[in-house]
Amino acid sequence: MGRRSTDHEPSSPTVSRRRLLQGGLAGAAALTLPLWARNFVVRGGAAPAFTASPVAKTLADGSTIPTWQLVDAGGSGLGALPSALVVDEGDSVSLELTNGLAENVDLVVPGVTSGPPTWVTPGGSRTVTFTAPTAGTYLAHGITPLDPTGEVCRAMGLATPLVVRPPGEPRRLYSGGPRFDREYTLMYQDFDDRLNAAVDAGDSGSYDMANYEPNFFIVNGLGFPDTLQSGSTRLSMVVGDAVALRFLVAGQVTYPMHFHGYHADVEARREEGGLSAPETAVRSKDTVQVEIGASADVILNVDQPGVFPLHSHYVPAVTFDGIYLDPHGGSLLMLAANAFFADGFESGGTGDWSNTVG
Amino acid sequence: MSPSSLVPPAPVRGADPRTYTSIGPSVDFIVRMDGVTNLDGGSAIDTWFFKEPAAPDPGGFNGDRVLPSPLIEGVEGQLVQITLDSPMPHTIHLHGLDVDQANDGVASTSGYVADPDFVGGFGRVGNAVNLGTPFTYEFIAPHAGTYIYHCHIDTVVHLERGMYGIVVVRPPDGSLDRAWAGGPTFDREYVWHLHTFDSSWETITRSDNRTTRYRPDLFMLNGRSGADVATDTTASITAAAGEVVHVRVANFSYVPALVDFGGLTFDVIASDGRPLATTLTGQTQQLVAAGERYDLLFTMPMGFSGSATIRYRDLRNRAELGTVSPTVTAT
Repeated sequence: MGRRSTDHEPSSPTVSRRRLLQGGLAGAAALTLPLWARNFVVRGGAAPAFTASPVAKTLADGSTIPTWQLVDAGGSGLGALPSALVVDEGDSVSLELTNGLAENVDLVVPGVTSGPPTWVTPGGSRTVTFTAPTAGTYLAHGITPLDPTGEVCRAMGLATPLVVRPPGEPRRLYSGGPRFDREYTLMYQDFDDRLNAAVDAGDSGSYDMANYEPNFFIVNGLGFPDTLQSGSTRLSMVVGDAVALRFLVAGQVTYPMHFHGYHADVEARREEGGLSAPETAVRSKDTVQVEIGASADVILNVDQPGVFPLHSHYVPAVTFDGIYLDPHGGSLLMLAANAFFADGFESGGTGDWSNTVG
Repeated sequence: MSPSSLVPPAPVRGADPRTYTSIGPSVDFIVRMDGVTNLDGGSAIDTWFFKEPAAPDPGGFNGDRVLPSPLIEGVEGQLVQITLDSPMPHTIHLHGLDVDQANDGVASTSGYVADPDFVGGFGRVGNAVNLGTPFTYEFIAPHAGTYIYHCHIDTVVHLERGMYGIVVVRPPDGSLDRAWAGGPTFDREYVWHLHTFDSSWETITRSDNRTTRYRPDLFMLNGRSGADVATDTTASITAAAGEVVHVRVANFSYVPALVDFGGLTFDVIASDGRPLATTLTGQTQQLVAAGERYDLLFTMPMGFSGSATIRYRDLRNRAELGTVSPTVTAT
């Protein structure tokens, strides 16, 4: 693998001031505002390695769904997702794919990787190489001989984000684009538990993807209220911040993402199989439609304090198996500006989650 | 036809372009859970809606239907107040209006009208009041444009059952025939509420294992379906040749919809209450996803007689699920 983005950016006066600010507001010990300006881990050193693995995922409503995941060599990563791959435009990227599934598999990045698949047999591995494309947010996902487009693999969960940065400009979405202070990569996935059960039973042929109707919805591997417990999905920000949100649909339905409290600027879009490009017309939005396999990179200029939901306006995506968030459900995120989550917040409202501090 | 006859007469500028009635900026709302929306073909579906208590029945949008709820108008920079008096847990979420947290209408974070035990509150601000106590939502109307409101309690059910309406914010001078200060002018204005029902949800009052999968089978425009759309004066478009028609499209369904005007080209001037950075001219169709709004503008050609089509489509494979077809006619 070639040159990598650095893991740790130089600390800035802005960060230091924020740390003092939160300490002065409510006592530093009780606060968990992330100190890093982004929500994903960048693996340094050797080429990243993923194992395509069967994983039984338990959601907040108690449901356990058999899924496939790309598991990090270093652990389960964010919210039981692998770490995002973060590279610079033009990098030569190499990653190791090991097959822990019972059928042949390969890994593709639509629009980036090319050529016929090189199947990895169960228990085998191979090195996947490609050149990092135009800066933007991309999707790496599995394919199998019976699933050459990867729609079943994605519906089973076998996907991970690929974030490509403009060289030397880690806090811009593309070269010359607006600068941001914080960054969240948000990968949306959905499950139709009938498919997961069929595949888990070794009978994927019994399920026709034309009938796919998801009934479980997660983001970065988590459903509400687990999304409140992870720095990956707890959107913490301060008034005055420019916050980059990379919406990426790994699932098999579209996601019209609605912001409460704010409009956001759509900076770049990428269609499935295409390259990311700046958005020039439909820019200031409170609802951002993201198609299957596509991405939309937005910047939220935080202009008021408060706690606000961020969710798909396909409102069934805010449910688990039809049940709206009382007290659990779906791919709901909470965005908190000048508001802090205490450690140990529990669903049901017993935690100390004070609002409108400062 | 001689060339001179192709030049349409100049429209009368400054006349009220609206094709519907509205209320505001100060509104009192009650909730009616006994609405009946008549469908094309003689059947009907039970619906819930907001209405002003003093308004004669049915008292929803345009005063002459229960679905959608009334259209609320405000003026950029001025106060809008909506007082909700509900005996049941309901709220008003002011979608796109970027209100503060207390007025956001989210049961667990905002002030609202509800049984406090109905949804566990976390970090709620504002005056969370009990059932039977009116709650007033307040906000300063932001940028002139098209917004929506809807109930945000057990939203997956309450929005689908019909608890929604449009909010139009006029430019700071209150003018009715201009999209925003310095923006384009128009002669006729239509508002299109796109919505679908899954009729199997008709008797459902709370999300449960019957709301697992949403399968819309009733396709609505301004609370009308099928052939009723063609005769509805708020949905079907008539304008004199040469007049500029402004159509505010808001999608309250959970599935996307593709909108066209029967081959007429149009400009996309705004979305979600904001002017586009670059107006999209010469368009022939516009996808409007769930929760999105688009402001569309076209000039009525001479002698035009056709139909617009709103194609609701599957959110996975884009298959057409159903359509509604308002007419477009030059007078």
